[in-house]
Amino acid sequence: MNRFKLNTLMAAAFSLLVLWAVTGFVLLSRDMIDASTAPKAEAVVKVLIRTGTESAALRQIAQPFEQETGIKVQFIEVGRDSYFTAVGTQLFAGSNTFDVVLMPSTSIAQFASSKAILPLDRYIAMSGSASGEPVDIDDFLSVYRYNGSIYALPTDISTHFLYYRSDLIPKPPETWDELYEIAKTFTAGIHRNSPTRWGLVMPAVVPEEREKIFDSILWSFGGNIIGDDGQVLFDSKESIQSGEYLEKLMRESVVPGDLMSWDFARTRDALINGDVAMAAPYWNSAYPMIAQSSSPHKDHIRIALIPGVRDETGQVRRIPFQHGWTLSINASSTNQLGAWKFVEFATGKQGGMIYARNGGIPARRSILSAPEFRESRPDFALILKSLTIARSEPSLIYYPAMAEVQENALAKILTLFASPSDAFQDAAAELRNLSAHISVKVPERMGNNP
Amino acid sequence: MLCLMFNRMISIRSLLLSVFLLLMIFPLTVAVITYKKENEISQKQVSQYLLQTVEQTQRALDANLAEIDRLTWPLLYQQSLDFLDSPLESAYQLFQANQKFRDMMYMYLFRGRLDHIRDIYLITANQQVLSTNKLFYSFDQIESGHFRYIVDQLENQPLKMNWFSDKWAIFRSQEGFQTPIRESVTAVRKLNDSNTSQLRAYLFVQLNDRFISEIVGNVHIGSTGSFMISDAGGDVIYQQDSALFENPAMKETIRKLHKQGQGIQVVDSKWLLAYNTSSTSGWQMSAVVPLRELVVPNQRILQYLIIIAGLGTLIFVIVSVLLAMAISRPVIHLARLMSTTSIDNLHMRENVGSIREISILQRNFNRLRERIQQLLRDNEVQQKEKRDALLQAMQMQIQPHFLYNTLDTIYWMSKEYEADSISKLVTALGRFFRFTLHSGQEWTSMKKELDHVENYLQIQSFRYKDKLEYDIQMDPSLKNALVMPLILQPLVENALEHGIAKMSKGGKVSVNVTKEGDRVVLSVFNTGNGIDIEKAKKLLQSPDSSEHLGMRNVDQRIKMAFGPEYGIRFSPSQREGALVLVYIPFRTEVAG
Repeated sequence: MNRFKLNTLMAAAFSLLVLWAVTGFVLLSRDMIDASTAPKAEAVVKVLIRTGTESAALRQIAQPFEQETGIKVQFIEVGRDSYFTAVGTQLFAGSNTFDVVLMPSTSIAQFASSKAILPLDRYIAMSGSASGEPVDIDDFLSVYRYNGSIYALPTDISTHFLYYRSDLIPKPPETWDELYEIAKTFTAGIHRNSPTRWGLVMPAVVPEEREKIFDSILWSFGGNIIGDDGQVLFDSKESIQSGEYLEKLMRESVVPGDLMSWDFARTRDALINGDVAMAAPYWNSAYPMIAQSSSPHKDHIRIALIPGVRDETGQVRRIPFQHGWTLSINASSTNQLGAWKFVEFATGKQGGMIYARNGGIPARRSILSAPEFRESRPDFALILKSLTIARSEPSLIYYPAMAEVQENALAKILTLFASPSDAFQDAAAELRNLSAHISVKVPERMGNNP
Repeated sequence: MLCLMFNRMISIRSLLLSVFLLLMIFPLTVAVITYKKENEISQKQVSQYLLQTVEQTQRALDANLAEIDRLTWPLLYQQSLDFLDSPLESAYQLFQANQKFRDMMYMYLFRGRLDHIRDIYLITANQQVLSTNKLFYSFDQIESGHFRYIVDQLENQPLKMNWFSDKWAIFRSQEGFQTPIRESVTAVRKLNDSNTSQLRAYLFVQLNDRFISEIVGNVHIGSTGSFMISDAGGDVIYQQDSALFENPAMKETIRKLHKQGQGIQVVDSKWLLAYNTSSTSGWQMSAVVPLRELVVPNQRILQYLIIIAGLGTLIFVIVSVLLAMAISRPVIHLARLMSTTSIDNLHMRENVGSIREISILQRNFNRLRERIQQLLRDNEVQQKEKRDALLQAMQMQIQPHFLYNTLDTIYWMSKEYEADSISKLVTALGRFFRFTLHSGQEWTSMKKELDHVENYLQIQSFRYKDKLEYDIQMDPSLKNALVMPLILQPLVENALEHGIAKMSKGGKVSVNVTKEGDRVVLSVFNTGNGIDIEKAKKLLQSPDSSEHLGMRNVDQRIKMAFGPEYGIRFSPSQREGALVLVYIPFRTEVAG
């Protein structure tokens, strides 16, 4: 065997051995545990939400968001009874268990002043360069500022409607007095032959519902809690008149005696079941639920602007309540950029369309007036109409305390424990005491145009 | 190897292949043993880890339960529930009491755990209901059977927090909204008056499913394993989505598990089940992982080892065969060549390979064969020359008596006719032939050789008449020196033919024998023309030339007999005439 052949042979043998060694190395280096079944670390945005229509619609946004960004959305849902306490506690405690928080617009001042939520201006400015589609601020029905900075973007807008059974009430009442009269007619306790048990219901549970629902009555009567200048007006003549109207409803049993345990769902279900002829003031968000229900009455349940008070000129003054559910970023979040991406997507036009298709009411003019929803969501037109005359609660840093005072005063009326005058005067005294101790942040009002 | 054991011959190739292949068995054996051991260890370790995982998860869950328990401790003292002493007759008083209860629960006691709380109820001794759930406000709404069961259970451990599965919930509110959050376990504590020890109320903390899932939701039992938590009564409290627990054998095994302590079992030879029972809640956590999952990575390692071993075997066989061939082929070829080598195929050569030791063998073998070839050739030439000389001698011996008789007749006739010169010539010729015919002998003495030369010159002097003179001198000590016969006559003959014969006035030939050291020098000088030494040397070395054939024969005979350092030399030192020298060793006896 000559040298060339021997060298070739040795090279071939060596190559085979190297091939064998490499094959062994590659095979044994492979992951023996199936990677597809192993837990994977992934980017997650945690969103704190409250059980309700907003959260149900918001959940539908998660999937397209995850597909578009690759960021998984994890919802932390808390019940309606404890939601506000939970949000306040966790934000003030600096908890990072969530990145994005769903909160009513009335809470923004409180959390912004304590720097528990992040100003969004930096992210809004950044959005144009990063995605190519800047946040269209002008399209929002309202944005929520504190000290000039935007702290939250609205994902849902709410106002109050009058719900009525058109088969029983061909023409909806225009004033509270008309409403009272019609309600009496359809209250079984007053008129035994009434087709419905109650002529009128409204949610009056706490937290949130009782004072917000009453605001639409209070403002229509010309009353208020705190004026634009920070003056307490809860014991004004007009305010007491609105309380007396509520007392009348209770005293005459036009509304259920346990009204304080009526919440959103119970009111909605009473309409669906045919137990009530009217619900007012009542949340606009109930309309798509009723429309999608299997109720035999659903086609007869119509919506209208809330009633008002006719003035000397014969004009009906209606001032429906409005507020927004917003998305803010927890200042203690460990994933603030991911949080912003979710806020941007959920409050954007794409997210808003998904939100609207799933029963939500996005706070964007372009969506509420979109031809796509003209037939399927007739409530949108009424929302826009209502919003033109609607009012928001004052954005106060002591808003929870104010709401609690108001709720307590209303509880006294709803339980006929005290007269409206006494109840409101006591409440007004408490509010003046509160405002004397806490600096009032009046100018930052909700509903300011962008 | 077996062949060696049985004392049989084995080829080098078989030996190398056997050794190489036998050596492969060791790593394969080591691999198989390692795999089996690793498999055993792995299963033991996984069992321990599984039990540890269950134990640690249970411990984390117990800490969670303990925290809920501790949050209720402020209620154990009288002052906390003082608001219950106020009248609760009107709706507003009830609302106020509810509000205070709600504030106490949400704002103070459970503020940090609200995301896990679904509802909190307080059922007083006189069956008044305080609730954070606005839909639950009357004792009439309670599921009385569940309430009684819970109260009975509390009597067993009246001072402790007791935990009940969702099955025993005392109030179920209808969901007003779509939500994935579900009610889960209920913690119930009996609250006694700290002064009178009388029953004051029962506290129900209804938790949602996140309460447990947040603790255990991220716990993974392997890749396909699963676990569940059941209470002391066997009701499922939490269960990961898995079909594992739907298996009848698994259900039965879990049902029969001891309700205390911990342990590991293999179920149906398919699953590994680890369980641990909490001393805090009595809940039992059971984790199941398919044995297949534990074995799969090891089986995969085995598969890879088999692939590697198979590939290695193939490669080793190829490499072994190639190496065995590379080493054994030249050896085998050399051995075969050695065994078939004969006189007839000595010309075959073995190509020299690249393996040094084998190439040395091949090279030496080639040299050996070349040497043998050379020796055979030399022997053949010698034999031929011997045969020729013998033939010639025999031919010359054919009729020596006839020749002698004839010469004798001529001698006597020349005496009769008084022709002395003829008689002298015949006498010399007779001596000449006698020496020549007996020259088949290998050795003769220097004296006899010189006598023969003298005879020859005497005969030639008759031919050349007065033109030839000759002179023969010898060191007397050399008369018995051994010399090959007829080595001087061809030289003298040359001197006559090429020297004297060409001289018109004739010349002289001188033969002189002397000793130089251990050599004998025989010189033949003629006074004729000189010798072209270069030409003479060429002729002497040219085997094909017929010229100076006799002189070349003499030279070859001397070299063959004594070696190349002996033989004929031409001397260039003579101005006129030619001198040829013959060197032979001085010997007086034939060597052994």
